[in-house]
Amino acid sequence: MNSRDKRSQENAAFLDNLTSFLSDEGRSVEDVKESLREQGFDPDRALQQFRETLAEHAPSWREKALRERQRAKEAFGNDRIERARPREEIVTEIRAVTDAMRSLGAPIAAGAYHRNFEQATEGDLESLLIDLKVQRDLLQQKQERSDE
Amino acid sequence: MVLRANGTKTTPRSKLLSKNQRSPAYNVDVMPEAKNRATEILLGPEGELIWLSLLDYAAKLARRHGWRTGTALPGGTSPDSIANDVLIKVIEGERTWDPDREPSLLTALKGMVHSDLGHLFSSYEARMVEPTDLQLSDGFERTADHFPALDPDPEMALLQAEFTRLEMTALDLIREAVESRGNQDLETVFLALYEADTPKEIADMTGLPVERVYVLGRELDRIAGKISPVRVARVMKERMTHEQS
Repeated sequence: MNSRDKRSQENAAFLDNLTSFLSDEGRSVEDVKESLREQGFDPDRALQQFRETLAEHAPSWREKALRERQRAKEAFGNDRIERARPREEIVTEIRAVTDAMRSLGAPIAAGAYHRNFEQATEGDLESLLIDLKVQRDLLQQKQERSDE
Repeated sequence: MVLRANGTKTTPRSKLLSKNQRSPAYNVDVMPEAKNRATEILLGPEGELIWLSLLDYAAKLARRHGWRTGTALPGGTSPDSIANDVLIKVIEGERTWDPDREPSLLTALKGMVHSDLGHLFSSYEARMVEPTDLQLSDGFERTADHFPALDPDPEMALLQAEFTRLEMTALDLIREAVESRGNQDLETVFLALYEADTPKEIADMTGLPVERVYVLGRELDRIAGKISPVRVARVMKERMTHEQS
């Protein structure tokens, strides 16, 4: 190896060491934030991005439930535009969902959802159905995970 | 020195990681427990520091590659998109952290960022290879005969020479900025970086208290932050023009 190659290697090793040193894991949050600002990043914005990534890809059960509910609501909205469902059909579906939930181990007292629905409007029933479906889906996901 | 798949000789990528990072602790096997553990840590009190440190590392490593190639990140990517992509893959189990091999999640994530950035710049470098037969700006027709007989790959030799000049320029710019501060401790830390890459090692080597090394590290960080790959490429061209005239 000639002296030029040797110097070139030393230069590369120096720049590698500098990069490792400046990324040391013993730094405080404030030091890391200051370093990011020096490089033109906004740490607050970066943290916002991090929270959004977690909410999207590692949601808590509450975030999952809210998202499912929103999805179901949107689907319900679309469905309502397409056709108005007969009341009996909604009640039948509510009973089917509660039966499915009970079979998945949900502690639903007998008759809790088999009340007389006559006083509820179609809108109330559809809303109840959405909530029950969200709960059923979460129970199903939990069951699938425990089966894995 | 190692020989890359594309034939270029380069510093081993492992050297770009600190000593405890040199064996990236991840694999493609499914490890649901580790995936859940990673998500748990990221959602916990350490999560934000891990993320900010990962982003900071991605930016600095991209800059390091840029000092060699004279370019910012190729392919329209950014340090945050690289770091974010790694994070999502770990959360979703597409890439797996093996805590038995690497107990620190941050170190494992840095290994993944290191690998992705390495691939990105390797592809870029492969595309940069200049053809051997070329008409130079002064009209001279260059062919393979104009390269030393012992050199097995003149195109690569040209590229390597360019990279060496860029790295030398980056190092000169950093050294000039350090010297202009007139701070002897800072110069000491700068020189120690030829042999060491952690604050502890540098403190042991120089006799400076480790807290002082951290403070000087922040000063070096500010200096390095102003040496962008684009600036390095520009200064190198200016210096070459000056030498030729």
